[in-house]
Amino acid sequence: MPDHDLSPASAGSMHASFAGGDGPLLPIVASGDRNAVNRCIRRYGPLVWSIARRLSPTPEDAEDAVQEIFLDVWRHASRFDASLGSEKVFITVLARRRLIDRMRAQRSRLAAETPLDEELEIEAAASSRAERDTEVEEARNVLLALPAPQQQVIALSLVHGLSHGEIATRVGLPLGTIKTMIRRGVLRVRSLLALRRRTSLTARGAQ
Amino acid sequence: MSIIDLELARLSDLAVEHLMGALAADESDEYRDLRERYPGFDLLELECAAAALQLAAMAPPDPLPERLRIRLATDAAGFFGPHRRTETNANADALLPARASRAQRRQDLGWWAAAASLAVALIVWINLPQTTTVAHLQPSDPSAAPPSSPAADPSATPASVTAGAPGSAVRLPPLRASAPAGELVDPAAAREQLLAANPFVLHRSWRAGNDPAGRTVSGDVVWDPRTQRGYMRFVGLRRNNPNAEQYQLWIFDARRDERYPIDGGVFDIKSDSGAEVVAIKANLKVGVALMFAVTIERPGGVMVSDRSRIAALANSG
Repeated sequence: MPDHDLSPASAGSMHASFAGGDGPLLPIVASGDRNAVNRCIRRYGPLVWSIARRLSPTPEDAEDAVQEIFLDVWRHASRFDASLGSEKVFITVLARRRLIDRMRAQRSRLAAETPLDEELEIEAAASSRAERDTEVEEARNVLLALPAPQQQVIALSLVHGLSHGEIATRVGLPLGTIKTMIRRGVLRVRSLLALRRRTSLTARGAQ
Repeated sequence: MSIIDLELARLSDLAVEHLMGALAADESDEYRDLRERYPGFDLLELECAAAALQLAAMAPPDPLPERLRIRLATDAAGFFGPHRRTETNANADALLPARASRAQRRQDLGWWAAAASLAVALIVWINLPQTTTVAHLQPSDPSAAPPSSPAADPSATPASVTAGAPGSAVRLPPLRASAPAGELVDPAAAREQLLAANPFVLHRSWRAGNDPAGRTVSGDVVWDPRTQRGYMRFVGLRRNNPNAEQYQLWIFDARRDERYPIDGGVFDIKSDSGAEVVAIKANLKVGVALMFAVTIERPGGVMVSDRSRIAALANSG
């Protein structure tokens, strides 16, 4: 169902016309605009749910986590700066913080419940046009350029929340190798994104 | 490579471990020490990289369960309510929010508590079939019908009513559950059509609330739970200035937490006589409508009303 069908009319809302399309919602959410809030839930709810489901031990735990994450989103919406990155990445950062915090607290992981076939999801992860995001596309290019075992290790860590030790056991590689694989992947993406951000800032400064 | 470069490289390595929730105890101490020595280290940049990489490795998202969506909307209503919290700490690490307790999320919506006892009675009332009001083709007070309403013309039938100004010949489309009420047809005509087509539609009269804007209000609200469509007919409700304030409808649902009534949409009264028919646009499915309340809010409406200005109420009383 399209987003615009889901919110009650706000004939007088100055924000309503700006909340359409695929533009950033968080600056409008920060003002408490209920249309934007509903659209934000519609737009990012499936993403947050999917992340939480994989990084939580049970569906019930994932639901609680999603609620906490969205409260974080409402709290921090005003801090989102579109010039520094995409909304999707911003929300994913908040989701990861909350989920890793919960994982630490619970000391439980989803490892044993992770279906093996999900490990193959990397190649199936091509986003739809609507979901395209420059940062994610760049990260995907980095990921797909890596050797298959490294792709798998990164997915098991980032997507499925397995500990390094669990990954080492599963894929049969030394713990040190697992750590290196993940670290290099993340740092490579950081370098690319930092370069892109600097280029973007320079270009804007020249205008 | 200098010592600083080496330490920053080590800090980056440990930060990645930290972001994976995989720091060992001894590494945690080392990480903390390095963070203190390099306060300018951009952890957020690393977090964004990890997030982007995660998104790149993920399959397309699963659908959000509907019950969870409703919970999120309810939480948002609580958060953006009258006791909204603010954040002042701009430090990047402080972005890691404190765990929100369930108690914190709950807000004391005392205004609606007064309606709780009424709600109990209404549940009983609504569940008694013999007490269900059967709607009439004509409003109970024909003089109250707005000028554009076909109810003012006894010769008009639901099949022949027209929308818009007199003389227009736009024939109303047949009622469909999926038709967005109030968007394709004139609300007054659509209301009549709804009443004619649904003999068991809920039908309640408005009474004044605590705000002078509704002091002389009358009219009614009709609601069809099957099609989730409804209309409010107002007479004597004060015209509002949309730039200053707007009316907002709230629907109390017996199946939902009474502290969080369903948002029924924001609307304006444009007529000096206060005669208006407005389509209800509930943002959630209404189970059992117990009571309808119209509040006066800021332009665009609010997630949660502070209930300080109530223009009209409709219930069994």
